[in-house]
Amino acid sequence: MVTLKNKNIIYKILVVLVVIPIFAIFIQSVILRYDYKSILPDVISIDNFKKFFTANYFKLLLSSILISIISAIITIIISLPIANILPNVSMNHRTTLYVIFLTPILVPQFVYFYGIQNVFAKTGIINTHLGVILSHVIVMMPYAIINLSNDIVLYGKKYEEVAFVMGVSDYKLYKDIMLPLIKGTLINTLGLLFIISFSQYFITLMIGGGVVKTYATYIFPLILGNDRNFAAKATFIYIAINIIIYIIFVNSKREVTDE
Amino acid sequence: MNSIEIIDGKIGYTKNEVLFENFNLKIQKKEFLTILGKTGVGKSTILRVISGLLALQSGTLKVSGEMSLCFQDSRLFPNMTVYENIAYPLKVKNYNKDEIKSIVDSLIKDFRLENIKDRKPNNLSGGETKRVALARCIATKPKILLLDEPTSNLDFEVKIEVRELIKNIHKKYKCTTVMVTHDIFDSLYLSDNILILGDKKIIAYISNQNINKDKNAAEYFKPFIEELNILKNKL
Repeated sequence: MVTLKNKNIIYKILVVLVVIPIFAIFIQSVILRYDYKSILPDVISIDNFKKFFTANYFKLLLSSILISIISAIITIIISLPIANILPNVSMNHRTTLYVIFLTPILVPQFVYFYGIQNVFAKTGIINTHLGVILSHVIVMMPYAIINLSNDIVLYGKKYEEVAFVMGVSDYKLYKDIMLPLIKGTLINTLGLLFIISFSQYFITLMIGGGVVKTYATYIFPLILGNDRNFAAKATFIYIAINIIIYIIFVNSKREVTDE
Repeated sequence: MNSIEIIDGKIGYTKNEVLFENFNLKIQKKEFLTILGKTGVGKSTILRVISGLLALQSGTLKVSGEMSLCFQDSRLFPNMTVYENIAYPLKVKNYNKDEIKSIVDSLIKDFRLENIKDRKPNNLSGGETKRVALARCIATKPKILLLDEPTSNLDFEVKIEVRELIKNIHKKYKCTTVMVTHDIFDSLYLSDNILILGDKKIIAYISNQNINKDKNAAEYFKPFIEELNILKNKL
């Protein structure tokens, strides 16, 4: 049971795990000079953030956001019918299907994508945007299926039966009943998928071969480099984009579910 | 003439889980049949078979006319208002807008739903939900009405109100009605015939007027009558 005391502990854990690291990144990003003998930073400025507001930088950002949005939408389109199968199978088969659909996150990614890389190379989509988008879709499908199937298992069978007796077609069942019922979860899932896709570094590099550049592939070498201040700025912008996107999705969800 | 007929039906959810073998049932047109029996004997399963939600494992099912099923948990569409819920089956059957408006308005009046017609189902009481579910079920004027425990989980007053409503529906729309219930009073008050199910068999299939003439039926009703007598003595 979550008591007031437990809540305080949970807030403290959240502050330690989430807020403090983000705050540390922000501080690191605005420090221009910090002598080892000083207690507080000597020079603090946000001027250096201007470095990021260039055409190339925006192009990279826009391309990353587009890749993530397209990947998230394709994932939803593919995952929705798969999630829809689940209420109609027995519990034993459902577990088996879950294991099959969850394989991309159950098997270590580099092993799984070694095989995917070979297949994509043979089909000629390696080092292309299409290849990167499809690889993101593969990674994200398990998350989408888990998220959507909870709602579909809850509503699916029940309203399918009503629709059957009423003589409602499958198309109308989805359009008029199921989609309005699960639209909150759909938006939630889209937000989650966007963030997963936006943070893919390893797979993008493996399938995109360095030709397809995303924001994650841009900042990763910076983090490993020596310019901590510049890396902190890039990371802070990266976190800010994720938070902004998350807020947009949460608000959209609130709007559609409050209708 | 029969409205519903099951001939030598083998009924069950899986091959290993057979509830009835050689199940025979004939329901006349405009008849009101109540299915009684203990929990788990397969009362609702019979409704699922008649409605086509569950296929017979073997045997024949003959149904003449459009049917409508009122589920025990009502299953109103949560994303639609009361008005939209009642209008939906008419929309599905391609009624035009004027027809839909006229039918739904009349049902809203008959079922006293004027004050709640713009509400969503999660803002309705148990009795209101049942009234809306019944209105939705008869919107298309089905020839067969299947009711799965329509008065369960309701307060006593609301139960009596819903019972009266079902009686009026049957009288007005003259549809063949099959009702599954636990409530002896509902069955005696509403039905022409009563089917009592036991473990994998039919205990009795009798007219409402003749329950004392059938030994099995009388046995089934005995505890309820004894309880009524206790109550009567206390009052």
